[in-house]
Amino acid sequence: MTNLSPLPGGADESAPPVGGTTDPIATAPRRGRNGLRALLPSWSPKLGIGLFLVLGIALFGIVGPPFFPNPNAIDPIGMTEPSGEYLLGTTQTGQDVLAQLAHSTRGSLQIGLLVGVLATLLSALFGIVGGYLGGAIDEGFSLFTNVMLVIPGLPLVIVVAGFVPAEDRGWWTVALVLAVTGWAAAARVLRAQTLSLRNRDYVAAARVAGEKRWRIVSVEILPNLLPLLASQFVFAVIAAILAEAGLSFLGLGASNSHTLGTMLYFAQNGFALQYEAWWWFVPPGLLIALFGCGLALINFSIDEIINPKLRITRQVKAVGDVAEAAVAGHEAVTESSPDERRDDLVLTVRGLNVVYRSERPVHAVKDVSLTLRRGEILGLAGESGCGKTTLAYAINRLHRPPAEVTEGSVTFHDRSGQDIDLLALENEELRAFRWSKLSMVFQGAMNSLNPVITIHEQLDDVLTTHEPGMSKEERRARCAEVLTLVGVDPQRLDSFAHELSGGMRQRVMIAMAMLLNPQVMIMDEPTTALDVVVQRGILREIIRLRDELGFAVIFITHDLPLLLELTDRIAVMRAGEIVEYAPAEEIYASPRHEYTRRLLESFPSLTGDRGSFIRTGESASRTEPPAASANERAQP
Amino acid sequence: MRYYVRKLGFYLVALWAALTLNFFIPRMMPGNPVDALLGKLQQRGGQVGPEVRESFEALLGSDSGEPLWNQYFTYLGNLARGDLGIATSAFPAKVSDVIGQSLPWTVGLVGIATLLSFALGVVLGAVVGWKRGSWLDHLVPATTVLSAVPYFWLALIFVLIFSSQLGWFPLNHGYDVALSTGWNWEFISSVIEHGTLPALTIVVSSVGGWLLGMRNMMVSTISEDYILTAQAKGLRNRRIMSRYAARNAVLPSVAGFAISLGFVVSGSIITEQVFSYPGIGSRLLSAVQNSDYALMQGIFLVITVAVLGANLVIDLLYGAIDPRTRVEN
Amino acid sequence: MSLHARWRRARAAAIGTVTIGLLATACGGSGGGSSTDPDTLIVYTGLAGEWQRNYNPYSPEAIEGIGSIYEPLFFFNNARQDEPAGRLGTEYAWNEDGTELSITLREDVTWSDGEAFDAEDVAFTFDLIRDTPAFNSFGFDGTTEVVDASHVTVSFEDPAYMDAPQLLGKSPIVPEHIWSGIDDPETDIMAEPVGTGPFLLSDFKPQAFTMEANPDYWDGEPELKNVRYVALSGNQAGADALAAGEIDWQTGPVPDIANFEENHEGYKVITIPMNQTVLVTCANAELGCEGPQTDPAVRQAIFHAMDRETLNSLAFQNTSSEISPGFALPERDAAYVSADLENRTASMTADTAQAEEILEAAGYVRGGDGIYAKDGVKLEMTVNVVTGWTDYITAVNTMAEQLNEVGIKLTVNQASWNEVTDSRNTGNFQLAIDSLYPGASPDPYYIYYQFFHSQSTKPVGESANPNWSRYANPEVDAAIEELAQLNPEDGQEARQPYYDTIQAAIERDMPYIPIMVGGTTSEFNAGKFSGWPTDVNLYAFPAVWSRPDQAEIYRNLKPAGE
Repeated sequence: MTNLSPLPGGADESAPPVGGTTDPIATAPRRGRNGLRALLPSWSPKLGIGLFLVLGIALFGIVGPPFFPNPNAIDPIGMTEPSGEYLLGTTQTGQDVLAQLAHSTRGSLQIGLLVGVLATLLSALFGIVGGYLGGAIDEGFSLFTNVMLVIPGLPLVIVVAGFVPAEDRGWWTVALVLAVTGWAAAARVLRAQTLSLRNRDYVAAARVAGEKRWRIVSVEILPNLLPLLASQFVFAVIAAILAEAGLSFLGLGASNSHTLGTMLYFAQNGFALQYEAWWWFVPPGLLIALFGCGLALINFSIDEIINPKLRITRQVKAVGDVAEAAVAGHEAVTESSPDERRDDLVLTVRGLNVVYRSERPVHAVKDVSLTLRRGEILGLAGESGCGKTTLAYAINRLHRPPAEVTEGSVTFHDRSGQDIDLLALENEELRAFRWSKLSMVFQGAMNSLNPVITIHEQLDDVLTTHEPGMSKEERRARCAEVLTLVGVDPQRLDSFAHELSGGMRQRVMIAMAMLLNPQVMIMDEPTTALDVVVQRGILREIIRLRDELGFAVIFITHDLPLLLELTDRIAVMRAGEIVEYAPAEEIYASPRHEYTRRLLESFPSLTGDRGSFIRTGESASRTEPPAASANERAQP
Repeated sequence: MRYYVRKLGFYLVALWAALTLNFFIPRMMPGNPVDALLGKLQQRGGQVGPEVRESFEALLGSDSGEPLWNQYFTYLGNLARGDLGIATSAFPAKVSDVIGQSLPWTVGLVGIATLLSFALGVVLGAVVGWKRGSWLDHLVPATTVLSAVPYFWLALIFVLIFSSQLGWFPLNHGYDVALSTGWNWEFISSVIEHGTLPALTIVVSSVGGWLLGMRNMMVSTISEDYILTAQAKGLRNRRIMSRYAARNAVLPSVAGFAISLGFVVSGSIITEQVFSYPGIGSRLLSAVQNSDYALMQGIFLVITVAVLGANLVIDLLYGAIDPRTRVEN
Repeated sequence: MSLHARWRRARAAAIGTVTIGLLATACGGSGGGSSTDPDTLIVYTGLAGEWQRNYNPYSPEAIEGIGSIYEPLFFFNNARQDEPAGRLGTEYAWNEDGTELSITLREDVTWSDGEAFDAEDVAFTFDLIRDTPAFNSFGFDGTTEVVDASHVTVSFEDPAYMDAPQLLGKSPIVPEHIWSGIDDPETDIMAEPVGTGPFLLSDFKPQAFTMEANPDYWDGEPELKNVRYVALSGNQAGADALAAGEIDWQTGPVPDIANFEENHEGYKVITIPMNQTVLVTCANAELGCEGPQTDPAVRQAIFHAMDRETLNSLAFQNTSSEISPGFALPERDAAYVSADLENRTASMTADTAQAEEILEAAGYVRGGDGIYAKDGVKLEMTVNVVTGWTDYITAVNTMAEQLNEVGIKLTVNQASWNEVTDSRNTGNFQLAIDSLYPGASPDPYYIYYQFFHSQSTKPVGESANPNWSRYANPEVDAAIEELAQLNPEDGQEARQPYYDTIQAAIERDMPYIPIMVGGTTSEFNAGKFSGWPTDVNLYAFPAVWSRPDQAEIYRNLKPAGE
């Protein structure tokens, strides 16, 4: 995963997402026993307004009723406008609207709460238990869930009411029906989530460790589902209050109780609208709307826990505008003056600084200067988090906010003799520049390919965008050609990413990078996830292609010994700075910097033994981009 | 292949279970269809004797003497033959005729409105998610609030404002009843004119859910590596948004859409009440109020088949929109 | 007395009153709000939902046709004490003992398909009713004989005077030449009805159907050219459509009835007291009823404790009117109201003192909570009301407060229509608010026969229809049976003693506690059409759903523009 994004990486889409508008929580990392703090919503104005509305209305419904006169008290004055005596006027039968509102709010809240609790319990039972146990029980449960999804609630209201003695009837009979008919969709979502969770490593680990099933469900799985359950609960409460109002409108609501629905029903049948008696018709509906609105706002905050990506940090700008010119005010493309011109240079980076503008700004790239010659392979080495990927992305201006280039320049010396100031390119110029002159191969080819469209489409995309003149046949031929170049059968063009092996995917990515004959290719850990044999093959391929096609390569990896074999020159990065920059042989023969030496010692060579340095590099990492989501979530 | 057979079997069992429940639930309701029918006859004068009751029981095939189990098997048998019985609330019309007369309106109005709302919600959600952090973000709470308003309340207020006060839209009916029905432009434009406000209310009150869901998925998808790749490839933003981000983000919404189809019929009841619009919802309501078992069962059958069918289709076709599921299954 | 002579007189009177009606409405309005075709009367019956094509006049779900497409032999005006008016019949007469009915038919009448109407059609229709249980809602068992093309006689085993209004007034004649070819008349919807009536079906759509004037109608083509029945979803939609001028005639509640005519130019409102609103009680402990209401004293106390004025203003928009505890309509049936009644009409205000006195005399003692009790049983009762019937709900809620004053606790139970009806029919209820509907002619006999005769009740647990209170009083039964033996046309003196007996008994026993006579309110566009019924000229019961009264009104309407 890239360490660039301030947000955690891509979703694990192992299970097809199912149903509902609630987000899968596939991205949520493990929340253990001590991660509960992360379950609390962080404060935001939305949450504040939501809580204010919900608590205010709840308080009105819970505490209010005793303060108001009997809502049933009939007064022969009939319908009157709001006045000092009746703050919200009276109904057709002279009943105090405000008193009715208080009692009705209580009734609706009771229904909402009961349905919320019951429906959540039912969906948890059938969704989580079924999803975790699997097998026949799961089949049975999901069958039942599907059947309940189509059970009509309308006659059920009458049926259930019929089974309850008249004197015991009330709001809860309607609530019961709404709960029984309302849990199924949520159960489906929960089941899908449980299915994805049960395949997680830590759940598997717990299973292997012999933990009891109920323990796994309650300790390992349930905490991770809590935000989703909370969101479903909130949703069920709104849905129940709305559904009761709808049933009331049809005359099938909680008829013997005061609810906002029955109140609206009486208002409507009392011709409140036709009398323009807004004080009777508007408040109940508005109260439902405000309560629902409050719950929805709270739900936003819960959603942000479920899916931290939803959080909007103030620095974040629209993704579409990411590529705005960092340094404005001078021409992006200039003819380089002859004396400045050095024929063999293709890229010059001068004094580049990249800063993550978060609450604690992090200087990820410090004053980096590099040059890349035509056809050269430049190695960029360093441990995870040293800023090498940030640097690579900044060169192509792919860094996303809050990362920001604060200083420096990146100049591309085009074959045509033009110098292109990459940091000054306008959006459209930048877009046209990318890939045609400088392409990239990302780490984790696994996720670099769009999973739902074919390889061909993704290759073709590049050609249709950058070479609009090409015919369909020409494009197809070119795609096949580059695949052949990297040793992939062109028949694979119509495959999807998941149908290819990891090595093959990486080859496809390299093929894609070559489509437009770029002058520079940045390869960010292109082989890290692959086994040694495949790795070797691909590296050889890269060298061969470079020899054939003559592009320059910036090769990024933490594996210094590999760079020694592969590259012409090597830059060693540590904590955002280049600590050593020299030809490969020099680095190998006489590393000058202490860090380089340690780096050399720590890695096994391609054939050799493991060194002493631990890969994670924790000891050396003084600063780290504030990327890891867990960190951020833990912040108070 | 085995996978498809299993799926099909699963849905068949679900269908059977739903049909069985649909048989028993109406029968547990108080009252019976013959009483409801006789009540109407009585209002016209006269005193309804036992012979009249017997005669109607025979006509409706609801001989109360028969054990429930026999009725159940007769019901399944008739269902298999496509015979849904007689609708007592529209006696002596056949259930299939009543449904046939009403269903097109419901599907036409609520179906199209649901589709519109889905399409609009997904498109807006995609844009809002893509342009995260811009002013468009305010669309999310705004539409969510509209979803939290009781639908009929909103619809009644719309009618008051746009039909009664401003007169922009007709008050009621699915078409101008003075026109003759037919496939001519005059009639069709009248249908469109009459359907606009109801459809608008449905869209307004339901678009928020789709928008929110899509927007959230979109935000998740945007941080995927393939989006970065697409940007590095120099693709145009529109292309990245539609082909790379939205294409992936829409998957859960599509599955949700199948479920929501089931609520087309039940959701139409209130719309039809408010706008006096023709359709199956008002039929269901009158069936419930008149203990019209046969019509209720018929309408539930429609709902059941629609929901299970849509889910089955989505299940089977999911492979087309999400190629990954093809191997996993 | 010759029927013929009487007949002519009645007709002359009818014409006279029509003219008065015209004058009355002519002053009423000009330029009513409707923008639609000036020849088309648009009506809404108050029913919710779409039309399902059914023009079989004998089908319980017929949507229209009685009186307008198919005509009965005579028209019995239920709204006032009129003589029957000839339609397909011109006169009828009973033999001495009421077992043979001779009917003279109108000549030169043709069916709308051109065939001639004659006595065979009448005989066919009457036999069809007798032989088709589903059509025979009044137990008709007469034998019909065709005398000649314009005369038939119907003979009965027993005196059948009281069946005449149903047979002659509510049984539309159908064409033999078409109906004889129908295998299952019960389930035929008569999609293309052929009748003799003033209107023909011209267009059917589930959202609206239209009838047009029959150019060959025996009484001349009606001046009203088209009647369109629109389908709406209920009272709210009706009120809105009315306000928008989209409906010319609706029977149903509207907001602010008192000021309706001011607020809607050209429109008139008429309210006719007809259905008697009551608290039905499960009164008969012997048939299985349970609860305090089985004690007549309790029912009496409730009767006196009601403040009907308040009920009327809060629940019924002041459209209800006084009710007589003998259940003869105080206005229409004024002559029938017994002098023996303790209260000629129920007091419009509460008489709490009397209510308490009655309870205390019956041995009830007020408890600490203010509620009366006897033998440890508190005076607590549940009253059933249909969910969504807001006027009734308001009424019983108001009543519960009023009764609480006199120490009777009323619990309101709202339940679905299905459930309320079911419990009412089977007797598993204590109190229920409902209304007693009138019979086929303006004669309280039908109310007594339907709701008070023990023959139409059953023990609790079985479906009793419509004597829901399970009232059984041999004295009342005998009086009702005696009434059936007397020819109503022989004058009232012979019959009144029986009415006195019945009314005194049911006032004493009070199985149905009278609340008020509910008003049936219609709103109509007098600016667009003239000829509507008025309070002074109530030539038919003005409810658009009341058949065949609606056809009488259509016959009288004229476009006002002419």
